[in-house]
Amino acid sequence: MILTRETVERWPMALQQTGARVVAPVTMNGHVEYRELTAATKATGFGNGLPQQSPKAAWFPRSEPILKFQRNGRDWSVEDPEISFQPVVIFGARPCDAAAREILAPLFGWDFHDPLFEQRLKTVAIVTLACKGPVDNACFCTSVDVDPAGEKSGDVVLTELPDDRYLAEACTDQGQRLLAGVSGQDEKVDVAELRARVRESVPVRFDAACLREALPRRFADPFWERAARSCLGCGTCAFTCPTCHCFDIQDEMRGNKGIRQKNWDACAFPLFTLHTSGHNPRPDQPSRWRQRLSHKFWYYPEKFGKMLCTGCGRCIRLCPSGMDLLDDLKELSRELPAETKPAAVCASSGGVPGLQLPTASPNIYRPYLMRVAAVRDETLDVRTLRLEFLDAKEGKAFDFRVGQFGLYNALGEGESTFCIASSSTRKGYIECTFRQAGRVTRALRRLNVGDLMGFRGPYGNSFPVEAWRGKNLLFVAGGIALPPMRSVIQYCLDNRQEYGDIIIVYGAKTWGDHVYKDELAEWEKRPDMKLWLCIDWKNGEEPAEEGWHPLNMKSPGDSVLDPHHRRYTGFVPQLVEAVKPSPQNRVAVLCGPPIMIKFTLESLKKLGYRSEDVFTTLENRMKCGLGKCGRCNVGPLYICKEGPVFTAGQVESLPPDM
Amino acid sequence: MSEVTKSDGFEPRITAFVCKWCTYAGADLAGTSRMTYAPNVRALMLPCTGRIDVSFVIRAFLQGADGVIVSGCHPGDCHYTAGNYRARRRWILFRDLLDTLGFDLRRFELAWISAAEGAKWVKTIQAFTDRLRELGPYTAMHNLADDRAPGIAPQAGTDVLLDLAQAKPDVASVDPQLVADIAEALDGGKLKAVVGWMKAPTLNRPRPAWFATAAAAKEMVSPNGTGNLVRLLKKRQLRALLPLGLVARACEAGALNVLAQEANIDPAAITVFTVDRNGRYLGAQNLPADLPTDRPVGFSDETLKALDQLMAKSPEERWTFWTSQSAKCLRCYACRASCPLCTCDQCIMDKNQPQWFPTAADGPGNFAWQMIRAFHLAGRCVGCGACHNACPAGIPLILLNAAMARSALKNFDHRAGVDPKAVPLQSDFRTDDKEDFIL
Repeated sequence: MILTRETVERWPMALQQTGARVVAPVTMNGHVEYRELTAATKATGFGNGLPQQSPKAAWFPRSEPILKFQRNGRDWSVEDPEISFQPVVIFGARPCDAAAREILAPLFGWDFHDPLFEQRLKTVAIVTLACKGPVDNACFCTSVDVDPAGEKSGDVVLTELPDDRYLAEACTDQGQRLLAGVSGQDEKVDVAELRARVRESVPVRFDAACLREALPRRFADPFWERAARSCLGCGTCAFTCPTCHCFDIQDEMRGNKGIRQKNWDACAFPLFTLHTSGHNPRPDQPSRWRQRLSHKFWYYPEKFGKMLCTGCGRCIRLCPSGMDLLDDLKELSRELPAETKPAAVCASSGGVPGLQLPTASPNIYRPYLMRVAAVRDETLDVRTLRLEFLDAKEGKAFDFRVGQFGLYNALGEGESTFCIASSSTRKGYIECTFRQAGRVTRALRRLNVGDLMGFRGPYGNSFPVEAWRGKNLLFVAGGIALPPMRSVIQYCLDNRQEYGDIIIVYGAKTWGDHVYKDELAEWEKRPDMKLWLCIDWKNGEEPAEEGWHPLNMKSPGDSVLDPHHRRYTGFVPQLVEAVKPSPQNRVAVLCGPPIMIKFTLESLKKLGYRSEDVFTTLENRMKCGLGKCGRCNVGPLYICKEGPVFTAGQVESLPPDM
Repeated sequence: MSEVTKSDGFEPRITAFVCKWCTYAGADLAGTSRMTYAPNVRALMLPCTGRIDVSFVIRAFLQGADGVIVSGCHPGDCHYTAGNYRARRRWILFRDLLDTLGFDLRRFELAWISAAEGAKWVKTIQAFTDRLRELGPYTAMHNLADDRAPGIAPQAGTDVLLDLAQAKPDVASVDPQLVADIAEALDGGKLKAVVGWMKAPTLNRPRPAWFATAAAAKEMVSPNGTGNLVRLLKKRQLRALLPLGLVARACEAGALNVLAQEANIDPAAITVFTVDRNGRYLGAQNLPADLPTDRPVGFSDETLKALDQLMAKSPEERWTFWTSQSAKCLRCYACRASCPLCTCDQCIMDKNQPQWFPTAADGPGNFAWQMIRAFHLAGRCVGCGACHNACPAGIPLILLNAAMARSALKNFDHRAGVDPKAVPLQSDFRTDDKEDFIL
């Protein structure tokens, strides 16, 4: 359909009259911004360059409530927030901004459907205005497969014709409906040549395929240190990007009422991946800049087949410190370095994909309400909560596989991720063991028997316990890492006849730091399994406590162990070497602090274990647990989706991103 | 005993932050003397007025207080010698900030009330309550929260009041003598690295960088970028490269002086290569840097003119202006990240035990953040405009900083960053600091 300039200029008003909110480019203080039009304002920036910020807030708001809760004495009620999804039309969006909608759709609709995002996607219509040429040198849409001529972009595409009229084409059903409301002439115009000229005007500035190959190979390259020198660690690039979608989840209370909300988050922030323990897998700006580029041009294309970039160039224009993404991409894709080591594995085959159960409400962020049934102190700062479903029906329908994790909610304070610490064979309750460290665990610790809290899960994959049938098992844990393994241990003990011999090696700094002491005592007495315990070796000092025999620390394999005495002074790897569990028909499960994992893996290798027979469960900071918030990945693997259970072989092939 | 008053339904909620030694004891005296006064006040006892942070006041208003009163010992009577003198400085600056924002100052009361002045406490509270009853409920601050419209860009036309554009300079060539001096210092091993500017090729913009070799220093371009190089000194990589050089314009030299005042840098480890505003190289020197004499540290004429324009508006217009500005804030913290003087290891906005301010990028949290930022820079900001130019939402942040700088100059004759030996404004006090608003 051909529209006159006048018709196009009047169109926003006509749309407003249909009850839609219209967001359009408006010129203000010398630049263009997308703004909601009022009765008195016009789309003064229509066709006038590229708005300074992207319109992504229309389908991915800066802050959006995902849950409402209210405290009544000791009880809580939880409900979904009411959000009105009034139709919104983004009028005069550029093709790069229109493209963002399609790029993000698979992420929020990937196995777990984010209802808020999908609802918005349905209510936001886009009238694209094709570009006539690049805004400046920072435009690189053609390099990332976005068409500046806007063919099939958004719901309706407007193309300015040489005679001051516009060609309007509907690309979707919604577009048809929008176009039905305007009057224009039906006239055939051939714009192929015009479009070709526009496409030519934006040169392809780097080879995306080469870039995709180069990123895994240059993961540990000094390039990143150089590239990120001027990065200040603000969120400008992410917040003005039409496709950056990482978010944070935060609780906010006022009086007895509170909301939980999604806020935009940025990988450049130091807090993005900071663990409560103080460890940060991405400790500096170079590793954060690498995360941003790798996420856009490696991880996302690998998962969803599209680059997470529309080539709009905003991050280049707006960076307060002159970071030059395009220059970095050019340099990365200039030449392909030789493949030095195998690129990271693409998918996890170690664990078994977890169950995904229908949640009680379509709101994927809504937790089950749980009542604290029992509280047990494990050490001075570690506590176990036994939780029962407030709604017995939900409890009956709930099932999980050992090794899966969940998000434990202190309502009004936030969510924290822990593996479910009890076995799926023990029905009617779940247990959660945590060390008090941050805001959420502190609030969880304040809970007493009878109090309410939330639980969201189960998420992630699990230990392949079925495949282990008939095998011998070795469990090795250090300190607070026994809780994530307890579920699988309990499972195997509850199905004892299915498995061969079971050996557990567990160590912690002192006896006071050992968790589950009652259970340990029980396990020590069981004749059908062997539990070996150790406390830290204090550099040749006398054993700190009575009953703890010393190990031969120089060559632990020569230690003479009394088969009836299972408590030693030494470190976990040495104890493993002293116990010498034969790798014959055996799988090992290993969990502990990084330093312990490193040395224990060496010990297991010495004993002849193959790395595909050693399993571990990883953890990283998570916000959603659903594969959307974008922070728990180690290289291309999302701990929350492809993990948390991995084999040692997989962990070894991961890039150093932990 | 308190007198229960009947009015037309509205009873103001007053939060009082009081010092333990004087006002709290004074209020106790009023109670034990069986004086009657309005029961609308909730007193929170703190050790000293010096401990009463402005964030307490902001938070009280955000949480729904209709009025806030801060009270402590009379000047000279502080149990800790000078806590109340320091507090007085803070309140002088903070009231000017509130005034710039267009906040209704009648809702924020300050008083000196000693342990013996139970009667003054009664009188003050009674008068404040009566005033607030007349003013009605305070909704401006928490209404910010109700204006949330997730998903939609702010309405057009609400935030255009002033035109204060952001700078976007192109790369220019550098004084060759500057590069020669830097190359010599690097070659001779006198310096391990020099912080300066290089070209970001895509948009031909200057970009902060550091140069560790004479060969690398050839890439240096003229120091006319919009950021402040001093900010880079926060980087761990650079801290390992002392002794350092830094190409300094007036704003960078000023910021270094402030950091030296606050003992945040070791002056002996930094050499400055000073440059005037036309890019002319003035020479290398050790810190503390003399400032280039062609221009005082501070704010551009356009900024000050815009501030005059703003202050000529009514408080209500100013409030509308700032609320619509802060509604645009994305909480990307580019202002904080680009500021050479935001030196806190952990920003109060990132603290979550307790969560001081709302994390959502909308009304209340944004407004609180802008207030905190401006206040923490009061008497420190050297007017480099890095925050203003960094803001992707185009909020005229420099205006708040300029208002604070003007307040510091007017009330305390203080210019930030001029004298590296001066005591920082908010760490200092004078017994004759002038104010006329404390009862």
